[in-house]
Formats: sequence, structure tokens, C-alpha cells
Amino acid sequence: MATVLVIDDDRATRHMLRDAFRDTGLTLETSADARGGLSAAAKSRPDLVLLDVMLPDMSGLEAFQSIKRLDARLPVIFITASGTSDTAIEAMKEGAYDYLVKPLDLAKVRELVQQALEMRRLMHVPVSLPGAAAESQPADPMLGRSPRVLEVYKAIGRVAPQDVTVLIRGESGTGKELIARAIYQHSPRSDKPFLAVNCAAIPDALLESELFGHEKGSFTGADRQRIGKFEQCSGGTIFLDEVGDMSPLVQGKLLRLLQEQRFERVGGNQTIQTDVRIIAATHRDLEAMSNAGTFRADLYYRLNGFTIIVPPLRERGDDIVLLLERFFAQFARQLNKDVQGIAPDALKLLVEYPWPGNVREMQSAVRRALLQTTGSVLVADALPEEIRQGVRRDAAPATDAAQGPIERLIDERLRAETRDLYAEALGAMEALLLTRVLRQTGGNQSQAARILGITRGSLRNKIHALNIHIESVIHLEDTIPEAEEAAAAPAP
Amino acid sequence: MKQEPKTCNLSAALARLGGNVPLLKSLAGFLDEDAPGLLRRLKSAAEQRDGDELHRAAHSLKGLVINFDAERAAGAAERLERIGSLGDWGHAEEGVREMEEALATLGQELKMELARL
Repeated sequence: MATVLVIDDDRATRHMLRDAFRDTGLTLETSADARGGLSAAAKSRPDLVLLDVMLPDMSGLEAFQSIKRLDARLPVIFITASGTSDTAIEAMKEGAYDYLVKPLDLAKVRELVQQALEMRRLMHVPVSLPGAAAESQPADPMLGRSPRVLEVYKAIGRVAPQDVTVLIRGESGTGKELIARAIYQHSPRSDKPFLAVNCAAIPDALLESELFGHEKGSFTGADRQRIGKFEQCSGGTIFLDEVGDMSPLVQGKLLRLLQEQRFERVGGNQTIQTDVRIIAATHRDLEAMSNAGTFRADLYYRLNGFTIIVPPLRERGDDIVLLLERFFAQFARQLNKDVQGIAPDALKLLVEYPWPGNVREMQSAVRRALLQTTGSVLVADALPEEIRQGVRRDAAPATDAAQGPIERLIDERLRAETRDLYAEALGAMEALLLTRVLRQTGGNQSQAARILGITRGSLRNKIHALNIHIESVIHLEDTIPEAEEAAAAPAP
Repeated sequence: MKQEPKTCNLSAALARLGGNVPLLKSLAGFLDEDAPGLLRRLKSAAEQRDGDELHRAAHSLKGLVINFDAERAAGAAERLERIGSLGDWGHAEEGVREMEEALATLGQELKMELARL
């Protein structure tokens, strides 16, 4: 159970927070002054501190520095009654987690506290690798003995001690965050903060501000200065999940950060120097995105310095049974189910299922199946429908790199050991685009030119160069070989 | 046209507390109990020209009244915070008087409004 320490001389605030976290499973401790708070922090080792900016016996910043000396990774959320509190902003620069402005909105307080506690958990709960000494405290285990997973463990061990950027690649649900945490926890920065940012979960407009901060008045709604994660986490490690979902603008700023460890806040002129290690992750095909111009090639090369590929579950052989056994035991215990085992027909279905959602899907499926189970054995009928239907193992999930005519063309040309793939792929892409649009317009070139934003003359030239015949426009798949021919012998 | 600062806005305050009326009433109780002592500290600090103490007491009062969106009282507290920080003693007496009046009005209005909830 997590413990939250509130240090605030305003008893109304302490009362309000006690009320907000009643029946939430959190333990709340309170102190009306800094000295009492510091003593409570040393004694009860809280998971989070809510700290008033102005205390009777010490400034909030001094109290914050003492807390940091006690535990550099302890998240601290400042509480201030002023919207322009310099102290809170200074504290953010020094690594405070965030700050709340009075009057407190209890729903927002709860949300922020949950986020901070999750961050604390990511930093604090060790990720245990197989073969490591048994942990004296609860750990998030990384399971698996298959050769490809053993390669992942080795890569973690090799790269963790080095202060380099790491790119973790793998399908959704393969455990990329666990790997990022394992790298952090085994790195020389393990006593410094770790922050995780899911780039796909934050709208483009906000992501830049979230990462780099902003100056007051830099955009509508920027009513005060905000310190971004890169500044806040100086000395620590940032995990950028779903890095392939960043907008080009943020990609550019991230590239500079990786090159120089310098950046400017949104709307600011002052160059900020920081010192963060970046661990990035994505399920996207960054090479394809970089070729298509949606992900900066220079950023891709920077991120790609050390890459860990996490295999999908369907390629992990006997790990499937190992993980099934683990989750079965874990959830049977959690759900208080006296289920002795998995029936052979259910086990066969579970082993043969391709697990497109990987480990995360398996956890959910086993839990759901146990909830459905009434007897002493988990039977096939209790399994989720998609598993009962027995989707073929080769019905692998859609990935960016295994779809559509362009991808097929790329695969074919790679097999043919081409030396002109860039031009070939662009030509095929152009042919695909033009045929799609011409089909949409029923072959009307004027309309197609308008949709494409090019002149009719330019369109005519491209149709000619790519050997697109208007009568064949509706047969999309047939145009690719033509495009391939055209690309193989580009028009002058 | 500039609007007069509000004495309080309990519907906004209640929304922030998730509609918890007993909690709002208990916050009003804290204000009722703590404001007189803080006001005495303000007066004494202004008399003794103790800027730090004036700033601290005004800050504490602001923290209490802000829970009710009491713009007038919070504004008065903020002005006193500045007076304390800058040592602007020429405005201290007037500032304390303004604070006292704002607190009295807020107390009356809170009593009426809370009785309706």
C-alpha cells in the first residue's frame, strides 16, 4: 500500500486531502511543518510527498532539497496558493514531479497523485531478470528462456551501464516498458529520476510543451511558465514510449536534444542545458516511416545507435507455456479461485493462438478465463471467443512492414538484391497514389489533379512516366507490376 | 467594464470538491475558527512592521479564503502579502482594514449560502 505524506501548515488543506484519499487504499500521513514532515519522511519512507511552498519553519524549496537528499527518486508535488510561484517553478527545475495551485480540485489532485505513484512504482519496483538473486521486495519479473528472449537479457546487460540512447522495438504488448525500466535500474543513473512519457497518448500540440516546457503567454492557455520533462529530469532517464508517433516539429527538437543536450522552452529564447539519457520505444517500422518521410531519418539514425528487438510472443516457443503457467497461478491467487490446472484442450488452444496482443493480451485472456471458470479446471469453454475460434498461428497481426502492395514490392525487390530500391519504392508509391485518386474521379484527370494539388500537365506527365493506363485504373493491384517496371526504367 | 470581485462562488467550490457538501461546510468551519487569529497576527505584524510575519499571515489567510473562490478576500490577502514583502508600510493599515471587511462580508455570505445547501 502506497504512503502519501502531506506537509502543509494549512489544516483545511490537510483535511481536504485526507478526505480526498479516504477509502482509496492509500495511507496518508500529514505534518503541519517542515521539520515534522522531514522526520516523517525519514521514518515512514513515503512514496510521494505533497509539499506546501511556504511553511512556517523552512521554505518549501529548502524542505524539498532535504527530501531529495533523503531519497533522490521520491516524487514531490508542490502545493502553492499563487499562480506565479517562483518557488514551485524553481523546484520543478530541480526535479519536483509537478505542482498544484490552490484552490485544489480534488479530482485533479487524485489524478496527479496516481500518475506520480505510478512513476514511483516504475522507478522503485525492481524488474527482476531470470537468474538474478531473489529480490527481498516485490518485483516485476521478466520471464522467458527462449533464445530470442535470452538475447534481450544480454542486450540489457550490455547497454545498461553505458550512457547511450537505446531504441526498443517490438509489437504492442511485448513488454518494452519493462525492458526500459530494467535498463534504468541497472544503469549508473539508477539513483536519479526516471520519467516515462507516452508520446501517442498526448496530443501533438501538448507533447512539445510536456517534453520541453513553455514560457508564460507562449500560446493560448499558457498562463504560467511550465518546466518540461527534459529539464525536470536532468541527471536522470526519460523513457519515450511510442516515439514513432511524434510530430515532425517535436522530432526536430528531440534530434537537437540528442545531439547537444540543449533545447529552448516553447516560446522561449533561453537555451537550456540538460543531461538526460533517453530510452525510446516503438511498435512502428521507423525505417519505412523514414523512407516515406513521416519520421526524420537523422533522428532515426540517432535513436538507432543501440537497438533491442523484443520478439512477439508467437515467436517465443516454450515461453508461451511458461508465461501461461505464471499468469494462471498469479490470477488464480489474486481472484481467490481454487482452480487446479488447465484442461488439455484449453491448453492446446492457448498454445496455438498467435497472440497478436502479445503478453498483455495473454494476461488479460487468462484473467478473463479464470473469472469464467466455475469448476476446478480451466476448460476451453471459459476461454475468450477469439481463442476458442482457434485463429491460425500464421494469421499474424498486421504490422506496418507486412502489408499492402508497396510492402510486397519492397520485399520482392529486396529478395532480388536491387540497388535502386529508393527510386523503385517512390515510383511504386506514386503509381499507387495516382491510380487510387484516378479511380476515385472515374479517370477524370482535371479532378484528380485538383485532389493531388498538382497541375493537370504534371499529372499527365506522371501518368505517362509511370505507364498508368486509365482503362486499368480500377485494377489497383495490377498497377504495381507496371509501376515496378516503370520504376525499374524511370522515365527521363 | 471591470467586474467587481466576487465575495464567494460556492457552486464552483463545490464542483472542485466533487459535490461534497459536508467537506465544504467543514472548510467554512476552519475559516471561521482560524481567521480571527490570523487577522490578529496581521494587525500585530503591521504595527510592529514585521514584513515576514505580515506576508506569512496574509498567505495563510489567502489559502483559507481561496477555497470559496472569495476573490475580494483573496485579493486583499495578496495585496498584504506584497506589502509585507516590499515593506510598503504606508499601505499596511488600509490593507489590514480591507482584509477585515472582506472577511466579515465573506463570513456573512458563507453563513447564508451554506444554510441553503
